[in-house]
Amino acid sequence: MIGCFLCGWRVNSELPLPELQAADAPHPVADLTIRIASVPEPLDNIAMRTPFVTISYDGSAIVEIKATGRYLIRGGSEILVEPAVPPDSPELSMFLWGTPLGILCYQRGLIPLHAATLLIHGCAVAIAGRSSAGKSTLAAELSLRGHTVLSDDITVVDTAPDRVPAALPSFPHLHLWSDTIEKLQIPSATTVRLRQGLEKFQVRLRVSAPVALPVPLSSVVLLTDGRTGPRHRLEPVEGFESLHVIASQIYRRQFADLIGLRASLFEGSSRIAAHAQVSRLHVRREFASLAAAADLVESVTNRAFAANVA
Amino acid sequence: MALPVLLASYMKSGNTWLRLLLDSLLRGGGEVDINQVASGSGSADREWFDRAMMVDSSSLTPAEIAGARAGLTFTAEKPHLFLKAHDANLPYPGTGAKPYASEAISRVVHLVRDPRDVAVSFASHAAIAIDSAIERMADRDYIIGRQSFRLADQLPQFVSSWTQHTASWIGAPGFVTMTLRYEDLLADTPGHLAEVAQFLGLDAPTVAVERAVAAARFEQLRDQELNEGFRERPLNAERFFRRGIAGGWRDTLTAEQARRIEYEHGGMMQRLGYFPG
Repeated sequence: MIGCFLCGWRVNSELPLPELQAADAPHPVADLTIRIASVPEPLDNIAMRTPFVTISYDGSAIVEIKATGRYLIRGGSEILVEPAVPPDSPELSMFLWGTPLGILCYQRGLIPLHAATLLIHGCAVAIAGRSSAGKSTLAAELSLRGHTVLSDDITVVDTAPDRVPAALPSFPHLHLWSDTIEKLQIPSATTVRLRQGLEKFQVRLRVSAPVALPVPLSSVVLLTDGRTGPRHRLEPVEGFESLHVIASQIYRRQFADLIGLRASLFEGSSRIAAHAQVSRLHVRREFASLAAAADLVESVTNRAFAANVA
Repeated sequence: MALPVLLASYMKSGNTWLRLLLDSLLRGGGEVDINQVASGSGSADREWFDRAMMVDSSSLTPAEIAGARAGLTFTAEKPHLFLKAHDANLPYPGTGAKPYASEAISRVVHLVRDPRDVAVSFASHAAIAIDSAIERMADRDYIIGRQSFRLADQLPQFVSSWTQHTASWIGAPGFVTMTLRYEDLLADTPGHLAEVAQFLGLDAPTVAVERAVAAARFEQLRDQELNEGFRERPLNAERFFRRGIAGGWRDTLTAEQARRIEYEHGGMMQRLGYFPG
């Protein structure tokens, strides 16, 4: 058992999770325990089933990738992992930080945004968008410019009513495809292949002090396909439309709908939309546009700064 | 809840045009916005798969994706939903998994086009030489959207060769299908659109059919793309709506290129009335 930190939670884990910030020893009391154990089947009161995920009305869920392993996520504090590969295989944690993390967020009353988040000039800027929109590639470019990665792919947001909505930093690694690694000239020594037969790698680009505390979410930038409309343009989104953007970027939101969290999800989304600047970044999905896109994301924080001063 | 209609075709065979025609027809012949097609979508959309399966397809192998796709039920939120499909109705290589379960599809409209015209259009679409397009069309192992070095916005789709692809959809067992030639749709668009509507059980008054044909006429689609772009255009292609004609191969292909296609696909071309001719 190792002790480590994720999103500010004290985590004890029987899986080695080198991407997480390590603690000196296992925590006497943990917020999340990850155990290697056989995962019972099936769940009671099944609300929904896909070839990969089974969800119970009680809010627990099993994620199963046959060749990799099974994950049982329950109570917001426990994940059982039954590996089909050696426990130190990166693919075990690759899948763990996908749907299981998303489900864990709902169980803990947090909102998972489908976004990579960076600390830019002291502001948390979330880059949201559909799968394959280029979130991680843009995050890599921004990281190479010296900004700290707070999370990749899923950004955990605390929308508790007594505070400003804040991103809970997960870990500073990005998942990048070999094409991006080559174009950004990232040394292969710093990359770890995530799965045999998949050209997808875990990369830590910049070693800075890990950010452990929540960072108020200043801005949400939605990556939008630039094949239509103007190229390289940042379009501020206001009012009700901003709520629509946030709601559309919630990760695995069917889960919340199934287990009766729709109202609190709406409330949380509204709080994010009310506090964060929301904009659409129209950009063509090509490397030639990457620098321009990164410039525009950086410019968001200037506007945020101006708005805060005003 | 209505099951979706599959619009199955090899690439560049009029699939998008038919989808726009049907979308307009559903709205009584309403205006077409090529970037806002409410009733239709691609069946291999990555985001759709991820949401429905609740898993990140970018972490899955092509075989895992193929194995799950047939279990994907497309919930038709509108009364009719048209799914564009370029997959062959064949098992993904190395798996036993065909891309669509017949129980999940109400009807299949299968569009075919003269492969000599397909070759010309496909080369422009994929920004490759015509000879390369001809080679791909002959490749029985051809897969599009394969995530090799970068993440594609489409899932991997097994297309196979033009002949195999076409043969797999003509009268596909288990499905209710009709096969329509692009050339016939072009020559008599209102007549064939009405025929498709009847096959799908859609209400299609003559006025609505004519308005849909006018709303989705080629010049209209081309001009919209020129002015606003088209979100389904491949990044490398100069444009998606290119010529919209039949027989254009005659002034583009060399005699040798045409012969290669006829040699490779002659049997199926003959069956469809494209060859000799």
